[in-house]
Amino acid sequence: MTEHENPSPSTPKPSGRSNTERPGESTAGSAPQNTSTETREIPLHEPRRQHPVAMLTFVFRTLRELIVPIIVIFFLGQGGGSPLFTWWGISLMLFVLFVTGVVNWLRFTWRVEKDELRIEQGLLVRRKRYVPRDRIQAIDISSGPVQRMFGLVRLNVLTAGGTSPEAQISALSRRDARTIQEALQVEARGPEVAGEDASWPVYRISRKRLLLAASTAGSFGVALSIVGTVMAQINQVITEEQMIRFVENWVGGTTTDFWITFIVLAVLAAWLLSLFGTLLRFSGFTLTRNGRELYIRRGLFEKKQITIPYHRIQAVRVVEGILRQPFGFAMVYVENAGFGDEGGKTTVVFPLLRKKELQRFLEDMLPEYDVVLPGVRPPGRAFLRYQIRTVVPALVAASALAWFLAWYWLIPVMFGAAGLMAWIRYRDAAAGFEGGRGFLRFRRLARTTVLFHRRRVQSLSVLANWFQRRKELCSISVTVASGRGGADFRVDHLEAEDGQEWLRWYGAAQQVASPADPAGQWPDWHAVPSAPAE
Amino acid sequence: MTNEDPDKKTTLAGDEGREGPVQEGAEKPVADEPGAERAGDESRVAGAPQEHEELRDEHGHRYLSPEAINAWRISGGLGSIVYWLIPLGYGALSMGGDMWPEWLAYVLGVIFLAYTILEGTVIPWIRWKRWRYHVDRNEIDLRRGLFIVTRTLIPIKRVQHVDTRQGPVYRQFGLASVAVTTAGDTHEIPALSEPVADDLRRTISEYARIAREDL
Repeated sequence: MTEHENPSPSTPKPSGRSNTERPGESTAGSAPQNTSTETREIPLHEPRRQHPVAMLTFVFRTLRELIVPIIVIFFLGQGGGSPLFTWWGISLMLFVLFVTGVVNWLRFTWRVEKDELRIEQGLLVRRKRYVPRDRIQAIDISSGPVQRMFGLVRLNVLTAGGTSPEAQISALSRRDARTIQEALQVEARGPEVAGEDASWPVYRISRKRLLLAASTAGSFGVALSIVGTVMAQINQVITEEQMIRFVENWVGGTTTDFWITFIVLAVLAAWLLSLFGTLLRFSGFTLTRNGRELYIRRGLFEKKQITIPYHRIQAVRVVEGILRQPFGFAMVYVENAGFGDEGGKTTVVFPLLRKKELQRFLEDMLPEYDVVLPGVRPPGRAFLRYQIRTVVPALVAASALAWFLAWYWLIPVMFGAAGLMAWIRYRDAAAGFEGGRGFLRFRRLARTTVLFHRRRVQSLSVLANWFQRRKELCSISVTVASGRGGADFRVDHLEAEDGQEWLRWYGAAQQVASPADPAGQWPDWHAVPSAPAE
Repeated sequence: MTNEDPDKKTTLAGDEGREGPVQEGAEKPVADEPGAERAGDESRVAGAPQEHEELRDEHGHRYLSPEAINAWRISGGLGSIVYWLIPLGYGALSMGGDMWPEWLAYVLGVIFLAYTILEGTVIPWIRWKRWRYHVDRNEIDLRRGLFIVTRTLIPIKRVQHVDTRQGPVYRQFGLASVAVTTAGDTHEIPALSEPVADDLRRTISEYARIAREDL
């Protein structure tokens, strides 16, 4: 939020365009022009180091990546050898890290030459990464806590074509970042630029919404695994008997009570963890756009700026979490192909929206996906298939648990719960298409609706197992690109004839030459005039 | 490799009740896309692949090499032996405590043994019978599946690259797979005879190139 320094807001977009024609001059010409307050002495084509703070950021980044092994070693070390050994080990490691940081900094240079960002790094193996301007999709400027402390920024170069790696300069002054941006990107990008133009809509998360989003996040999978790891570590310090005694004293009761307490505590811890995780992640969430891309700003400590060019969006996913659906809330994601980290793969474009607001949101922010499509649902005879698919695994799991813990009541409870779940899954499943657009809706736990364009679908499969074939049912699976891999979406137990319809719909598109493809008639994002006319 | 026992292959193909596969195969593609198949035919003269590789079904969709059956019998049979670890591991466990019933070890053992036998005999044959592929200018059409029958369409426009792959077993049988990669996934057409696989790889990448130029 402190980033008030605006990368030349006065520079209009068209001026950037005109620079594209004369890239040679733009490097030399624009630099002194834009940084009029202080003239830059070092020309851009001379190799330059990062700001020395890069050493620090390297150390912190590596530490963060190694945090789990460090903790494990710490605990193991405590158990086995003397504490002195552990401390020596840690100081040695820090020393090595720091030296590596210094060496890395010394060997890392960047320059802009011949329309390329040229980064050279590495001690023994020299790595040269020359990123031509044509390949650069966007330049992302963000700042972590360390960078902010020194008033610096981190610059990420996001390249086209997911396979080529992006480049990063982890610490440099805002001025340098801006110069690089201007020299390479030419067009000024960033949320400020989009925000300047009042005609583009802005979506900002309110504090109340954020809290609601966080408390219903329920990303239990991740959280539970972390809690599990911590619990396992605790086991090394406190024995199980001690814990049981503790529970007996404080809660009172038997081993079963202990386990129940344990589970309740674990779930509570997981919930809190996901609550705070979500708060940190989505705090200050702001979504803006211009004619070509979406901008996201979010995060409390680590502020993230994400740029999603519209032409990279492969599909939109509306997820109604099981805790959120009853309140009529949903989360919106986009699948996007190409560059890695947060910019690629699956990105949250808004953490919490009312179902009612969704249509408006899509019109504002994702206008290619704002159409309500007709769809089909599984036929009545599919109901049994849903029941079997859901109930059988649940019963197996319940029986195993019941066997080990002698909780026989679990079997009927799970039976009922799974039956209910199966019914909801059956009721929620749907698929449909019209023209060049399609959607799939299905539920694992959360109800997910995927909206996509036929021209974005990488492959389409229709599957039918033996049981489905007997009942003339089928499943439809759609693959879209997402990040460097893909994402599969699948709806089960539809009418077999519907599967054939989907194959025809998808196959037909290929028979037509591309200009006549209905998808081709839709506005190309590069050609959209600068107002959200739709 | 593939020249050695043509009789066996013929019988395998004969089980399918296919009449005159060679002739049928030769006619169909000409109607489909003359240019490409002619190019293919030329390379076929040079590479001289076997006739039975041209097996096609009534829609003109092609079968995999019949050699696939024996190759899969070996690779599948050997591969399934890994799963024996499950009953063996369980057996070791059940000897330890009485919480784990011992009879289950035998049941699991029988199940996995049966699985290996099936993988070594009939499963590859059914799998081969079910596998069908078709490639034209517009799309790649794959049909396959033993228990789960799957049909996949991959538009040629979406193809990013094509490779041929060959493991040790395939090498023994003179077979190779063609792997088609899109931006989202990879699909494999397994067990084609080497010349057919090379030919297919060339054809697909040529089509993909043309499709990209059209765009």
